Amino acid sequence: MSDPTLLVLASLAEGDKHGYAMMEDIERFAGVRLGPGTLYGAITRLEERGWIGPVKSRDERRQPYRITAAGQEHLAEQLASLNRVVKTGLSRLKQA
Amino acid sequence: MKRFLRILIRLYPTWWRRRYGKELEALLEDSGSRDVWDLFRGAMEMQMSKWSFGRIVTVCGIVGLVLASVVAFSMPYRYRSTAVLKISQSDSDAVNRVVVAAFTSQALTDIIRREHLYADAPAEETIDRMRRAILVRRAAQNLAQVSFAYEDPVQAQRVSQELVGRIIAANLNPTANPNGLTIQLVVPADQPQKQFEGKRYGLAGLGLPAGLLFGVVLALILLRRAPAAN
Repeated sequence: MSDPTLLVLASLAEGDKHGYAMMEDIERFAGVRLGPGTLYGAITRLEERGWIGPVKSRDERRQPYRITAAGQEHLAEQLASLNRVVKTGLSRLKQA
Repeated sequence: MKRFLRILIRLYPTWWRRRYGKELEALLEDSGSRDVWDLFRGAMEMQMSKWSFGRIVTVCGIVGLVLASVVAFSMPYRYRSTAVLKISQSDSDAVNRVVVAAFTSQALTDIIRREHLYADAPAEETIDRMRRAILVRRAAQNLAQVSFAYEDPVQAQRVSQELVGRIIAANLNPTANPNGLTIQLVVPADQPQKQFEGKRYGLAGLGLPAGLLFGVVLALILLRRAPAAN
């Protein structure tokens, strides 16, 4: 799982976060250190799609983001699809 | 470094910087990231995210042409020295056998060492480069041209003459020449006066289709990433 948009959605599923917090969280749970350009490219695309949105904050330089209902739905679909692949792969490995 | 990263942020489009510029600066401060390539790639992606398919392909084609031209025209100019041989039979297989026997790797290595050719190239590449610089072709019914291209005209002439000498020597060897082919030198290797362009224009021209092709792939990737129209 290395799609940055999916990683950002998975990070925000836990709660609102700003860029650096997402970067740290993603590195913790996925072992992937997203570069700043990659992270903000993903944030831009996700916001354009309406899957995440900014949360009111006093610090505009550290703007937190929140996953939207549509974003949660998309994430659930993608994870279910990944889950099917993982289950199939594991069961086939056991048979081999 | 911070200043350089700020300059990189300026590569992002204005609409993007207005919305995310300060956040990206804060992220760079907090994370201490120095990933220049990632920032540059991100900036280019955002620049092209609002471009049409045609614009991406056209710009990539032009960039490909410019880059290939820079590479092609920064290559050193070469001179090609040519000698002409007379061959008793028009049996191309027999001629090829003699040429193969004359231009062994050991023979070419000796010439490369003696003439100090390709001093800037790794040793394992020099023989291949020399083979690419040698041209043996039929000029008429019983005539063959042997030529060698190099950056220095005097060296090109000396090596061309040496190559011809090797062919004539191999011709005297019954193993390499079982058919009794007779090869004589008709015109000795000349000292070239004009620079030889080689495939310079061809290489530069390849940049355009390569860039266009890259542009099509890039545009397809970017369009796939773009949000679906509601």
